[in-house]
Formats: sequence, structure tokens, C-alpha cells
Amino acid sequence: MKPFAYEWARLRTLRSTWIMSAVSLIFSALMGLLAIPIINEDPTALAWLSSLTIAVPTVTALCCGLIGVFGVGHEFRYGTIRPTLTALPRRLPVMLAKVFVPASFAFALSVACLALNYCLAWLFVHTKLETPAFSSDVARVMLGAALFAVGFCVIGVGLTTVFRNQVAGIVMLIVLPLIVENAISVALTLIPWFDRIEHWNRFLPFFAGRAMYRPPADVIAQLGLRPFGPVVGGVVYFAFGAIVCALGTLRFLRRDA
Amino acid sequence: MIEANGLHKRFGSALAVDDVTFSVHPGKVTGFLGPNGAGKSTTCRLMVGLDHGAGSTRFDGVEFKAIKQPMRQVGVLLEAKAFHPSRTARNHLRMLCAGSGIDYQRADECLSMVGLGEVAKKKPKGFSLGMAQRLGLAAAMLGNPHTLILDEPGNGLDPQGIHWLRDLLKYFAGEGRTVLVSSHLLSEMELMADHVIVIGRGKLIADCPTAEFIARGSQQWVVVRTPQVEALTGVLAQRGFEWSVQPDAAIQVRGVSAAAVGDAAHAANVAVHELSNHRSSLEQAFLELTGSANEFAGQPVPQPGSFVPGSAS
Repeated sequence: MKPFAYEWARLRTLRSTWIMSAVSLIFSALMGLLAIPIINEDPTALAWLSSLTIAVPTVTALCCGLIGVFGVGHEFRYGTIRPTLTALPRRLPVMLAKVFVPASFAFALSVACLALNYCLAWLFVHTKLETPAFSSDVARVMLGAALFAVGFCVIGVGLTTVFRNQVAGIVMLIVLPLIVENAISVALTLIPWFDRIEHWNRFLPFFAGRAMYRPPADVIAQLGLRPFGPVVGGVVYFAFGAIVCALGTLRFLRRDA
Repeated sequence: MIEANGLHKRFGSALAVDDVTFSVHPGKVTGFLGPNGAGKSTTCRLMVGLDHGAGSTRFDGVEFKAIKQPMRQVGVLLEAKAFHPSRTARNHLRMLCAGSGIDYQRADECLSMVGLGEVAKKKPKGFSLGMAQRLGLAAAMLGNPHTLILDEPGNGLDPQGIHWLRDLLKYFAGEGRTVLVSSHLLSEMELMADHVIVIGRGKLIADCPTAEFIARGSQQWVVVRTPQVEALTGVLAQRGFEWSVQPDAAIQVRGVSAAAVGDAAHAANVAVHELSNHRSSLEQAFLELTGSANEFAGQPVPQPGSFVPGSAS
């Protein structure tokens, strides 16, 4: 348990952790308020579900990813990996703590953000909603959104451990979902040569992960894409996170500190 | 007690540490000396498992990785500025406490011990090198360990700080603890270390008491000053003494005692203004023994008035 206590002490004594948390909470509150006029215009279940999944899978996920990146990146950037490993010389428990502690924090932060978003929106629109404010679909998209942010954090830890560099970790965390995946997806969809493997785009990890919080009648399906369901999508997404973390762990175990 | 056995490390084609074996005994301050690039820091990192290489190091019979709470057994300072710049000094130490099950109160005690009590709540990004060293020392002492491994702890410390460090390490050793300290401050090591381990180009050069190292490194000599230089040198030559006249007209006599030189001067009725015994310092012994092991030697400094490459002609 010592590596977990150490990692928690490291995480909570870092200013950036609280800046990221504050940004996430403020953005979630704003999204909760911005949803009010939209739902007033369109009080359907889809509008309500969509309003609950704007902030957390975007800004909160990015903030959680950065918290994960900093967990490892700071160690290499400031040379604190040496005091860390002289206090805790067994590297595997250290690495496990570096994944699980920020991931747990990311989950708690995401839940707090979702709760804030939900409560603010509910306060002003619940009388106008045509569907129940809380249902199994609402629970699923909210849990999916929280897990997506957790996955982002785990991937952030993994990528930074692979590259042993904070800047590389941040760049990869942004470039992979926004540029690499979109480029591959567009190529698979638009280039005729890829027709046979067009459906492979659902294996793209971030695309698959979004299935966890995607509302049932999402526009993605209307576009003709065939994404995985929330469970399989989540498995693909977290499998990618696990692979990246495993690669990072191998490097962490084998390289000099 | 530290027992390092067959430590070996290679960075690509460069051999950093070549089969180095030594023991560090409790109750003594052991100096770890060597020129730049000799492999001191790499050896320290190998000892605590930060670098992967061959060989093993046991601390009171146990490998570092097998120690349950290493900070309580072995205090390590390898790098002065190994802290996050915006985490306060106190929180930096508390974080290390959390990883070793050490009471948080110990963080404040150690900060006070190293003289950083007043800046405990400050962020170390503004710390000088000396303050950073003190914070590193506080971290090494958090667990009140039996063994200390300190890599260049005197770097950046002011004279008072160096004096304090010397007293502290001597106190630690006096309590029967094991202290291994690497340093380039040889004059300081001469005052501090009871035993020295010297490496050069990754190889062990010496592992002996400091006095023996100095004695092994060079000879003793006698300095004599006289207004009758020619008369005295004549007598010294007659008696077969090895002598040389220094630029400041002092005569340096090697291989004999001051009494023998004084007797010779008296017999020749030569006035003597100074007659003193000299022995080489740790620095001189170190330079003599590690001269060929210095990997990064600079060019010899030219004498005043001589040609300096690149200067206007």
C-alpha cells in the first residue's frame, strides 16, 4: 500500500492537479447552465442525454489525461524518479500506483463533474422534460462518460511512460484522438480501396471508447458507421489503455532511472 | 555495512564501472573520490538499483530492493535538485514520508535539522543550490537511517554549510552508522573522511585509510629558508641529499628529516630562517594517483605572458 500512499501524496500536493480539477468543475457547471436553453427548445431524451455528456468526455477527460501525464512526466522532467525509487525500489508496485491512483482520482473527478452538470441542468429544466430525468440510459451515459475520462487518464500515464517525456505524452494524448484517429477514419470511409475494411474504424480506441457514453439514437449510427456497443467499445478502449500501460511498464522496469 | 561486489556498468561502448568491489564499514566516514566521469555517481546508482548493471550491493547483508522500508535503512542523496519546483519543501518530504510509513512530523524535524525550517512552506523553485542540497540531505535523513550514501553533498554549500555537514557526518559515523560520501572538495574530505575509496575510469584505484592514501600518494619533504642559499645547497650536496631551490628561494629537501637538514646547516654555520616538515595533502595524493585516470582533463594553463591560443597576436 505504500506506493499508493506515496502516489496519493504526490498527486494531492501538486498544484496542477487542483487546477485541472477546478477547470473541469467550472466547465461542467457552465455546460449544465448552457444546456438549459437547448432543453427548453427540445425537451426530448436525446437532448437531455447529450447535455449530460458534453463536458466530461471532452474537457474533464483531457484534464484527467493531463493529470495522468503529469504523474509520470514530472518524475522524468524534474528527476524526482530517483527519490521515488530510492523510497520505493520495487518498480512494478510503483507503476501500478501510478496507473490506479490517478485513474481513481479521475473517476471521482468525473463523477463530481457529472453530478454538477446534472444537478444544474435538472434544477432548471426538470419540469419541462418529456422523459424521466433519471433512467437506465441516463445512468449508462453518465457512467460511460466517467469511464471515458478514466481511460483518457490511463492512456496518458501509459503514453508518457512509453516516451519518458512529458511533452511527448501531452502531444500524443491530443494528436492520437483528434488527428490520427480522424485521419484513419476518414481514409477508411472515403477511399474506395479501403471499402472492405471500412468497418475497422470501430476498432480505433477513442472512437470505440466513445460508445460508452454515446446516446442510443446517436447521429454516428445515422451516418452509416457501425460502432461497437458500449460494453465492447469500452473493452476495446481500455484494452488499448492496458497495452500502452504494459509497454510503458516494460520500459519502466528495464530502463535506468 | 555496505558490501559492493563486482559492480559493472556499460553505456553502449563506454565502460562506466568496471568490476568495482569494496566495503564501507560502520563508524567511519568513507570518502568516495574520483575525477569527473570516473563512475562515482553511476556506482552510487548501481548500489541502490536505479541503474541496471552487473554485480550486487548488500546493506547489512540485504540487497536494497529487498529492504522493506529502504528510507529507514539507507538514506540516499544522488541529485540536489530532484524535486518538483512548485511542491513545497515540506510537502516534498511528506510525500517521501508517505511512501515509507514515516510520521509527517519527521519532515519538519529534518527541515529544521538542515536549517530550512523557515522555508518549509516555500516552493523550492527559488532555492539556491546550497538550499537544494540541504533539502536533499533532509530527505536522506527522513528515516533516521543506519546508512547514508551522499553524492557530492557539499556542492553549493557555503563555508558554514560545509563545516556543518562535516560535523553532521562525523556525528553520524560516531554513532556507529555507515557513511559513504562522494565529493570533489578534497580539502574537505581530508578533514572529514577516515577512509577513502578512489576510482578512475570506472576502476578501483584505492581502498584504504585516508592517511595511508596520502602517504602512498607522495613523499614528505622539508622546506628550509636561508639567506646563504649557496652555502647551504653546497652542504646538502656534500651530504648527498636530494634538494631543489624553489622560485621563492626556499630550498626543498626530500627524503630526509628536518632534524638532519638542521644539523647539516648548523655544521656548516649557515643561518636558517625557516625549517619545516611538509607532507602532501589529499589533493596532491589524489592528483598523483588519478592523473592517468582523468578522462576529461583540460589543457594545461599557460604561464603568464606566454602565448594563449586564440588571443590577439
